[in-house]
Amino acid sequence: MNYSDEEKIKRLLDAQEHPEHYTDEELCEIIRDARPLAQLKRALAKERAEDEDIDVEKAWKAFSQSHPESSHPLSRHRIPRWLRVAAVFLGCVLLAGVTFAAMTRLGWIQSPFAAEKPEVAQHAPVTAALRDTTATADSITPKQETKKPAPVVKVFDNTTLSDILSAMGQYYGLKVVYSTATAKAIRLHFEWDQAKSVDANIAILNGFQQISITRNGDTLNVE
Amino acid sequence: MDRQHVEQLFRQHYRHMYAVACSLLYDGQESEDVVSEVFAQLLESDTELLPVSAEGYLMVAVRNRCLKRLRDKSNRERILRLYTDELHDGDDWLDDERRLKQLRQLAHTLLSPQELHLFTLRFLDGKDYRAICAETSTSRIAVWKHLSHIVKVLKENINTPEP
Repeated sequence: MNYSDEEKIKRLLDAQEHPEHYTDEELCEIIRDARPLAQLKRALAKERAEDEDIDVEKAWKAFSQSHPESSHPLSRHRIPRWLRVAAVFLGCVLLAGVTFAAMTRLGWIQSPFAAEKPEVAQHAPVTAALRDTTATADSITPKQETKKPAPVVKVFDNTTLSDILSAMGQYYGLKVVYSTATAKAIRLHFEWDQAKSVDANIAILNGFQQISITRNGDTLNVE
Repeated sequence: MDRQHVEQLFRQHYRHMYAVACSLLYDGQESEDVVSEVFAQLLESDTELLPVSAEGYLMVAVRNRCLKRLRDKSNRERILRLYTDELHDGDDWLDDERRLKQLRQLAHTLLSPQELHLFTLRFLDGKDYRAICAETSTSRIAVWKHLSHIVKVLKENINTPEP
């Protein structure tokens, strides 16, 4: 409804006394009409507040009491945000690691870092794995191993004595010395049980007619 | 933020922040609460303020908190207390400051001291007609006529841009 300016003023003053006489929609319209008054009221309210004798010291004390400094040395606002983010990140990594370890342990997933299963070695002829040993004409120097794997039974099929002893020397930490080159080339089928002692395995190898191996401390002498 | 820094800002800007809050809420206690909320949030946050931007940040923070409170008021409260419905969070606080200063000067030009006093009693202090009549020794009709005139003058001279 269109009201005259006089009527609008009358409604404004009346609504201030009796807002309950007006609908919400009417009040919205009256509020818009009252904007100049609201602006002046704001200006005068600010002026009055600026003139107030405010005791800032007292206000700070009241604020301090209602917001006391935390006595805990690791209270939240003492720790920088980046440190909190880093802590959360490390926590997540740790949790993921523990979960992964538990899952691989329980066999739910296979770890990509785990070594091949021993069963594979039992059935596959050992050939390529042995080629990385450093061989000289008459001796084999075992590689330095940092950690010995769990003992398995390795099956050598049609494998040279040189390759077999090279693997054993590496495993037991022995040096292999050949008195003749012909012994190196002897081919045989041999099941090497790593759980047995070196002497027990040598005794089995010595069961072959063409082979004679003796152990002298850390050295295997092959004749 | 470091407590020592918060204390320094508190001592430096409290008065101004309180006045800004009063210019929107018209209530001393509510204004104090809003200012305290701003400093409490600073204390809990990692916000670091450069000296050059500290004042602006604090004034905008107070203003936005006040506007948030105003948005929660009913229309009845708005008309009873003449809360503004024109301001928005993104408005320039300095422009608003300048405008309020101009309005104060304009009020003294547009209204007589008696009218300004009447405006203060009715709209700023919220006194009813009976109290005003008693204080000014005038009749209710006279008070009504004076207020009508004041409203008319202000509406004719104060621009109110659409929100």
